[in-house]
Amino acid sequence: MIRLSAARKHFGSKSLFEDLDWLITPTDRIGLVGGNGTGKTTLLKILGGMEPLDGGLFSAPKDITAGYLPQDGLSLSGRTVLEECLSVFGDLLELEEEMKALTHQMAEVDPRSDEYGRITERYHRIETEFQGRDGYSLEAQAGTVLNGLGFAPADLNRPTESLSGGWQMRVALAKLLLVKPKLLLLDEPTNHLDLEARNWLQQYLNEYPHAFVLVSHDRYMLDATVNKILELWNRRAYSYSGNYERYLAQKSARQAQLQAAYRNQREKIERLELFINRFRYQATRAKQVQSRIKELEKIKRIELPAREKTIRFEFPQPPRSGRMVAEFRGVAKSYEGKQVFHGMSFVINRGDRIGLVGVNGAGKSTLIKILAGSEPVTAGEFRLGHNVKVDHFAQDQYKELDPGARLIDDVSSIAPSALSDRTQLRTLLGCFLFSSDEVFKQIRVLSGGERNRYALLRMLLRPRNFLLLDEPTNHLDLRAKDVLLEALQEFSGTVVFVSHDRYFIDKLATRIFEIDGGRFQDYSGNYEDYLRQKDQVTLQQDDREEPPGAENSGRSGDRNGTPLRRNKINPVLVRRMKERHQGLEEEITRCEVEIATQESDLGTFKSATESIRLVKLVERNRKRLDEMIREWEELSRTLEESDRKSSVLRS
Amino acid sequence: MVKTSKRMARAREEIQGQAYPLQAALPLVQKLSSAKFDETVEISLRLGVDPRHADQMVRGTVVLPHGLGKSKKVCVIASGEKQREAEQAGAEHVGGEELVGRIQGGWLDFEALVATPDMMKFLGRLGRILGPKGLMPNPKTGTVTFDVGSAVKEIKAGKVEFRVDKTAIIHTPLGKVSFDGDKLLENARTLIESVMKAKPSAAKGKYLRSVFVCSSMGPGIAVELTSLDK
Repeated sequence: MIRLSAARKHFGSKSLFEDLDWLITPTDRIGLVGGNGTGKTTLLKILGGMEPLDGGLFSAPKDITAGYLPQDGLSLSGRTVLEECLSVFGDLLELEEEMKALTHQMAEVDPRSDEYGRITERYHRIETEFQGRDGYSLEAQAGTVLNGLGFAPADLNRPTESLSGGWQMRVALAKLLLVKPKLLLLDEPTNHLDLEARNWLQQYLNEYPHAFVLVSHDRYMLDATVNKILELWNRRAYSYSGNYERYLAQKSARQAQLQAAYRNQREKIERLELFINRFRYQATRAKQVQSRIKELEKIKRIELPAREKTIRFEFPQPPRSGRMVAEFRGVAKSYEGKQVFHGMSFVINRGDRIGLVGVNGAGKSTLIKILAGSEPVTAGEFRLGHNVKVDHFAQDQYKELDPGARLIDDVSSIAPSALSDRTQLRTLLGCFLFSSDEVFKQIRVLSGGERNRYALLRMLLRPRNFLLLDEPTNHLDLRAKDVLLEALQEFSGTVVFVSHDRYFIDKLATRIFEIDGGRFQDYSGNYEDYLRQKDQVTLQQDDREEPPGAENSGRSGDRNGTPLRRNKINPVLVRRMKERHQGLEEEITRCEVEIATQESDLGTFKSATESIRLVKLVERNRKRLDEMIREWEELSRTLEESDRKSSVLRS
Repeated sequence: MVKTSKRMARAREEIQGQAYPLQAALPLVQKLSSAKFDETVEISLRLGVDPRHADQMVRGTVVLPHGLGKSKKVCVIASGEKQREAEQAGAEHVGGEELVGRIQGGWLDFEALVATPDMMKFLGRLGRILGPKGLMPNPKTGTVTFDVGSAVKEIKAGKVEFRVDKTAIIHTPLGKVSFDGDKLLENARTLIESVMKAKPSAAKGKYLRSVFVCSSMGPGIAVELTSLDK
């Protein structure tokens, strides 16, 4: 469908990629990965026709429509959310207008005139086309998409300029999804989405009928949606099939292969050179030497790609706090009469890394603010433990920075003495994506995202022992996230954080607090454990729910009047299974003994026929044993399951 | 996996997955109908057109000689004496601009809508409501006309509108299972003829690809295309 061949692009003096060959077929689901500044966005823009190539060929059929979602820098105004979304159907709306105009004309001209005939003909054509292109369901389509992206019905009539940047982004995404271009280009669409909206988008992409290219720093998202990965690395593009996880595996395999090939080639070259040098001056061997020289010239040298820099940084550790870090006893919080949560009781211990999850507006940030002491509680008691020093990283953290200072000076002024080395400081800044001349920038010229990033870095350099992080991973790329993740994993203090990055939560959290509809729930373990526990809770709830009309069913002869359980276990069946289970155990032991004796008999040779008979016997017994073991395992599993169920029912 | 009912399985067994001539297929539909009500006999025609192109759209109306076996509720939006004409023709709901207001309020208790050209200017804003249900009047299908009397009568007599859907198939009713075999056959032939006449000039290749008939709750029965030429 779309083909790039030998494509080349420079950015100023820097070459982004060279010799890039890429074919996108109509149903490709591609994840585009690579570090910051490797040209992912530029490549998307080229595909979207917004940037030219510096060299090479870009070919696409005429009817291909590409839709590009930029990372940021959008500003919408003058229309309501719904109007803005419907504006993508400009041509259909025009048809609708024309239809309306024609109905007016119909009323005005004489039905017997030619003019009327012309009008009705036109009306018929337009109405047919309008209906054929689902013109009548535009609002329904827009509503579905907006709802999926988290807009409430009341938001649809809000003017777009009243929305924050993140929500404007969602409007732009909704518009793009409505157009359904043949090639969807998404540049970090998940940056501004909460978990719910991400899950929705993930599902939407899975059902998307055409091709898409997705740039994302959310591994879960990539894992769940794409079936190909294109990696931009070292000015080259490498293509992998499969999702992100398979890409990582393939990549390491490919590197190992490349290294082996490089080693082999190196050895071959050395061998050839040795031969040439040894026999160069022997007239009898001149011909052979010449051919070796030619061979050497023909070898296409394998170039090992530069090693990807893995950045490791040891951040200083904070002073130790008391064992109990914070305690909530029956805390409630309400804003202007609206209750956010109530009856919240928990204890945070030293070393806990707690992820807060819940939909937007559930009260995660409020909880963080209460912990930070910047919001009072409405009822209940809240106290911090001994020697606990709180540091709160809010979305607008950068306001506390000195706008006139240069980054490198500012860092060296706060860095602990162990880190005073300038190279080290620059590495550190590099970890957080401030490279080359950027370190000499003044803080005031940094963008919002960059300032946030810098504020995060400052926080890690002088850590307090209780960190409260609100969306720390926004604006960080995969590598920077890893640096942050590693730093926080090794952090000896206590962390409470809000993040919409599932991978980040999964790797960091040791406890999950869920806030949902004013209720609070504490789960131990990481994000995956949380999902599992939640599933189990819903399962158990389902189990406990009574089937409708169960009280009236003929078999509900329970004396206490408790209705029949849906998953009631048949005791006769269980008894039979137990008997069989025990019988099998005995039989297995018998069979094993039998095999052992037969094998020992085989050790002493009597006659050929006898040996053959014994071998066959052993084989048969082995097979039987395998079958019995399989059955025994299955039975054990079923019995365990029924035990679990009955204990649940008892409780 | 959707479970096939015993009733359906029996019916399918009888068909044996083969195609029948139209004159045999319709009696078979009647024979296999086993629901507890008078089922509608339906026909589906797959056409060799690409409905994404406006010039390959197949759409039209046809008055079936023996009707559909049920009368449609007709609503007429007209002014002055045209309202009386409509009432005389037997329209269930007759009114002027005030009906537009009611429809906007969510009232849709009718199956066909006829309007006079002078009232169309009020109907323009109802597109989002009427369009999805296929009720929007259209001069080409005879639902925008000053001759409301005959329009209502035609609809009552069994005028059906057909149009290809996105997958290039036309689905329309032909009558009831309780009809005489000949009546159904005649209705079917009239409809197919009218669809053949509506063949757009832009259509390429074979026009009528396949035909199936069925009852509301019965299995689909393939029709031999060669039997249609007779």
